[in-house]
Amino acid sequence: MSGTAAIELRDVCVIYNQGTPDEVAALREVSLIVQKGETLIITGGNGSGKSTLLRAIAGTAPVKSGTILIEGTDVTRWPAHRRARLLGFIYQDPVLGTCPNMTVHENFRLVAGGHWWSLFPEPLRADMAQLTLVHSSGLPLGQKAASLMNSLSGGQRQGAALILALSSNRSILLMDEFTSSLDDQVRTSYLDIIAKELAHRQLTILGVMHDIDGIDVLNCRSIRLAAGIIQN
Amino acid sequence: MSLRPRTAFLRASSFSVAAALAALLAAFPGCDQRKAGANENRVFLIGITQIATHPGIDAIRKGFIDEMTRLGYQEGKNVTYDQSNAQGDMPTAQSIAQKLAQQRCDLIFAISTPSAQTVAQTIKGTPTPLVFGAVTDPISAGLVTSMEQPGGNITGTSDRWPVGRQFDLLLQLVPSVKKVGLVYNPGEANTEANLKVVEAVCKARNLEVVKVSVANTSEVQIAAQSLVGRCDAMYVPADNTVIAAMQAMVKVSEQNKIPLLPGVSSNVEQGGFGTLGPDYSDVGIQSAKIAAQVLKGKKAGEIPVATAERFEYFFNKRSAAATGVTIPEDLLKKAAKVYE
Amino acid sequence: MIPGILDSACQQGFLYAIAVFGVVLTLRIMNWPDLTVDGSFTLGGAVAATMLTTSHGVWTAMALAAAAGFAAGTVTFLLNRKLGISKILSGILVMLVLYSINLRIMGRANISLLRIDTLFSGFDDRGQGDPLRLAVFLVITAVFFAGLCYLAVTRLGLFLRATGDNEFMVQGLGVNTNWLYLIGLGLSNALVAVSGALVAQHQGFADISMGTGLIITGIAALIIGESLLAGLASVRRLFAKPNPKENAEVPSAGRLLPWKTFGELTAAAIGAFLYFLIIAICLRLGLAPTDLRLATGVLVIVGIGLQLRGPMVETYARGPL
Repeated sequence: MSGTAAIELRDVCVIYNQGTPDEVAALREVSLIVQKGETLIITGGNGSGKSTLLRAIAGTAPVKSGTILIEGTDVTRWPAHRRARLLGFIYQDPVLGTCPNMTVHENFRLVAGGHWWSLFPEPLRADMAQLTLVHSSGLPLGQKAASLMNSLSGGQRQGAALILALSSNRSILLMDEFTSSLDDQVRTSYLDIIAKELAHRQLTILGVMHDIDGIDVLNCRSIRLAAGIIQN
Repeated sequence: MSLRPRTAFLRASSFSVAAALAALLAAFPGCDQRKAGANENRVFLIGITQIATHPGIDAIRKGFIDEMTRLGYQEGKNVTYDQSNAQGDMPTAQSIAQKLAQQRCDLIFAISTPSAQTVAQTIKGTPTPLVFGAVTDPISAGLVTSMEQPGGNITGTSDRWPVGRQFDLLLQLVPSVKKVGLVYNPGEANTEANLKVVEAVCKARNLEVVKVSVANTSEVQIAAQSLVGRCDAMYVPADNTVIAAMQAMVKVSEQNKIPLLPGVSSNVEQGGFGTLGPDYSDVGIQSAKIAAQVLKGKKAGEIPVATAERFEYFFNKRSAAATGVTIPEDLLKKAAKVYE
Repeated sequence: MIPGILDSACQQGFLYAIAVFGVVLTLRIMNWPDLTVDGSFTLGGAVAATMLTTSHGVWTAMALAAAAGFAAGTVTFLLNRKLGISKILSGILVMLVLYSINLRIMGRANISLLRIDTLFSGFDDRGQGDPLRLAVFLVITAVFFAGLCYLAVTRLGLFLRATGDNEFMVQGLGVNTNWLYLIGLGLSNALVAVSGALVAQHQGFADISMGTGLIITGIAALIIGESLLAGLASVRRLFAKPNPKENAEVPSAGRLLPWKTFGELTAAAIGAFLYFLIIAICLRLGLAPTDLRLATGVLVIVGIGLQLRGPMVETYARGPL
């Protein structure tokens, strides 16, 4: 084993609603290793546990047993916001990845550096247009800097969410079916953005996708989940 | 989201109309400026403010107006009343006080402690005098510096109840009493002073006091029921919350045959075997006498604070019978009011 | 001489506006329906009155009132985050508990400030309709307004607003949103407590029931203000020229300011003023105070009604209120 893996799961079990009649074991003793710089795609039918797998790593699923390590550190006991310093997350629903009632400019200011408790005034320059990512995405985020995020279309918001996640410079990215609400052309262009970013810096991607059309552009391996167990 | 032109126009015009109306009313000087007349035929403007609707407070107001009429101040002829009721809301009491102060009334009559306090603050710096009614402890309310020489522009009537004589009546009619239960609301300003007097009076007569506190009228019934078995008689203090739920107290007392001594005479009509007290209207009458002196030119601060003087017996035969209390004939004859 | 109605509305409106700022901070900016305010308003008055009557300075009294309000907000936050009690219920519980605490602080149900030196004692000799008093009240409110607008522009303000908008995104940035909610709730209740302290000094006493119904007053004032601002925006749109093509330029610095938050704060201030203006007008029209509540309620309904299909409906659809 060359160095520490980016993500490692050892016998992780996730059980929802334990002790109630609705109890369901979403993940059963799943073990997984994702190397640094690797792209791993997880597929599976509905209810197979693929979203739960991502949530277990992110810290928002009730892990009952097992160990989760991120870059060699045991994060099983860490709350979600602490893990978020190492991970980026892109949601399936465009609403969740951005602040809908704040402007595009303010959303980009959130991911910019600086302590959250700072009492200095925020700069008033719409400089997100200068980001290479924004350029290559073709999204008119510069012109829309003063518009509310929810005035953008769903596809544009998803693109903005993608750029925000990539801008935060995390080395690990979790993507939860984020292309499922996009049409083919837009999907291809967003996957292109990810591919360019991969060429740019070392990025570990763990993605959940419903169907694997169009992901050949990303050099990756894939695994399949069914009923909480890895199939191959 | 763009509006259809007609909708936008309707909205714009309705807001303009509302704004114009508000501006008009704001600029309307109306009843604010009054010329200070010095001639004999002047009409006095008396502002009356009360904190809430309440049989006792209403009786004071009526007594005041009736006595003023009797003293020669006829409504419509030489006096106008501006009456307001805060319906229990503090900011509204404050708004009322501001309105009365701005209207340059010749006198303001405020019934209850919070109403009096709001007026006392707003008349600072104006020549308007304040006469208060039904403030149990005017000194700690900050209204006056002493009962004999109130000072400033404020005086009035304080409603101290003859608690000692009330308990003497209780002991006379129910000699076996050892423990007295009472329900009270610690959130009322007057009640605290009242309670101190009750406890001192009971201590002097070797009676034990059992207290239960409530925060609003809906809790009174349960509180009263919790006293059953823990006392031989119950007392209703001059507490607005408990008085508002008088029926509950009466019901519990009659169902469990516990004699009930109301501290406020106007409540005897609802129940309790009887009590001693001034009619609340007597407080109004005393206040009117003071007000007349002020209107004639005497400085309010030089008129001593009046306390209710006349005490009468009040009995309720039905309630007395229901709780097993016999009222002697000679007292019945002396009574100011006997309810059947 | 200021006409009576305006005088009345300004005096009360300006001081209560600070409490409405507190309501805006939790209800609108952080999306947390906080019912603690009935209790923290009285708490501010109680603490200030107790300190003033025991010969402490005005500024000590106000600072302590603010600190007490902050503490009350903290308790509400802890009940929700650590014990998992719902936001509304946490606020109600703290409000109930504060009733007893306020009685204990004051030692009695009512503390008179009529003969005590307060912040506003200097105005005592000037009577009603005094423009200097109104100017001072306006300055006090303006200072708080400016302070909160500045907060909105800072990074902390940005995160406070973001937390109320999408807590998950803020967590995804690695920030523990608990701290943000703590600051938001604490600051909001501190504002309400300061308002209570000011009102107690202005009206001449602190009373256990002075905060009763404050959340209703606050929300009513807020809705009136928001309706008026939205109405003005409608009028403006009516007269604005339609945009021929998409604006292809990057917006200037001025447009990047948090205008929405500024608008919410302005609505709070205007709403408080209008609320007490309506009460003053109704009193002079001779309406019974029971009808007063009816008049205010009708105005609020009309205000919402004129907002049909506007942003207001969306806002109410999303929260529990």
